[in-house]
Amino acid sequence: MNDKQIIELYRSGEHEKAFNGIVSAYSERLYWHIRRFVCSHDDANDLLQDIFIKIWAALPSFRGDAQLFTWLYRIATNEVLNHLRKLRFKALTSLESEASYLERKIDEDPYFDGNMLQRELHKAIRRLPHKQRIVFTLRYFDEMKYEDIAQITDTSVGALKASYHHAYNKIKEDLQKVLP
Amino acid sequence: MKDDILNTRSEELRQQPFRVPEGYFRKLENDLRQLEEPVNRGFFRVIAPYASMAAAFIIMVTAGTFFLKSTTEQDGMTYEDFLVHSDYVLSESYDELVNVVEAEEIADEDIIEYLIYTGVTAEVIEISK
Repeated sequence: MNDKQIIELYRSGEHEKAFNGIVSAYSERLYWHIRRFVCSHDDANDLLQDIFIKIWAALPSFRGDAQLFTWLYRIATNEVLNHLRKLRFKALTSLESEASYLERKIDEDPYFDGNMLQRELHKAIRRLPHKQRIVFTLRYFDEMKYEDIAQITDTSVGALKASYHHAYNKIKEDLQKVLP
Repeated sequence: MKDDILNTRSEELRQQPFRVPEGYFRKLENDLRQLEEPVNRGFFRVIAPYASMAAAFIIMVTAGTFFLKSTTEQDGMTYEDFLVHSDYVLSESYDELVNVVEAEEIADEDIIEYLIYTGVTAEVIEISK
C-alpha cells in the first residue's frame, strides 16, 4: 500500500485500515531510523511503540499538505530528539556523558554485527550535536533530499547543508584517527 | 592527503551493522496493530481510576446501609419480640405492657371501678349503662 492509498483510506473513514497500512509500510523503516540514534534494540522498540501511539493520535490532524513519509519521519525524529534530551539531562547528574553512554551501548549491544570501521562510524555519529546527527544520518544513510529533511526538521535547506558539511568533516577526521 | 573514507568506503559504511531478534518485524507489526485498541480506549483509561473509586464508595455505602438496616430493622418483628430484645425496657414494665397488649377486652366492672375512682357520679354511671 502506498502513501496515496493510505491517505485515501483515512479520508474515506477507514481509519484502522489506514493505520495498518502505515504500520505495514513504515514500521521497519522507522525502526532503523530510530535504531541509528538510540543504539539499543530495546530502547528502539519502546520508542517505536510510543511513536506509533502518537501517529495514531495525530492522524486526524494530517491535512495532506506534506508528504505522509515526511510527516511520519517528523514525528519519529521529534521523539528521538526528546529521548536524546532526556539522556543528556540524565548525564548531567551522572559521571558519564551522553556520548560516552551511547558509545558504551554500541560496545555492549549483542545485536551489533558491524566491523571495526562501522563501529567507529556509529560512535563518531553519537559524538555529534543532535541536529547534525539527524541531518547526517538522514542524508548519508537514507540519501534523503535536503528539501525533505528540511520538512522533517523544520530547518532551512541552507542551514542543513552547513550542518551536514560540519558533521561530515568531523566524522571523517574521527575515522582517520582510528585507521591504521 | 588522506582519503575521504566516508566516500571511498561508503558502500561498506552504509551497510546496516545492527540486527534484530529473529522474527522481530513480524511480531512488531502485530503489536503495533493492537495499539489502536488501547489508544481508542484512552478516555476510559483516564476515567478508570475515578470510576473504580466511585464504585468502591457506592459499594461501601450500600453495604453499610444494608448492615445498619439488618441490625435495627423492626418491621416483621412482633411488638413482644421488640420488647424482649430492647435493652431499655425494665422487666416490670415489660410484664405490665404484655398484659395490656394481651387483654382482648376490658371488663365492665373495671370500667365502673375506674369511673368511681375518677369521681364520676353514680347517676351518670347508671345512665351510661
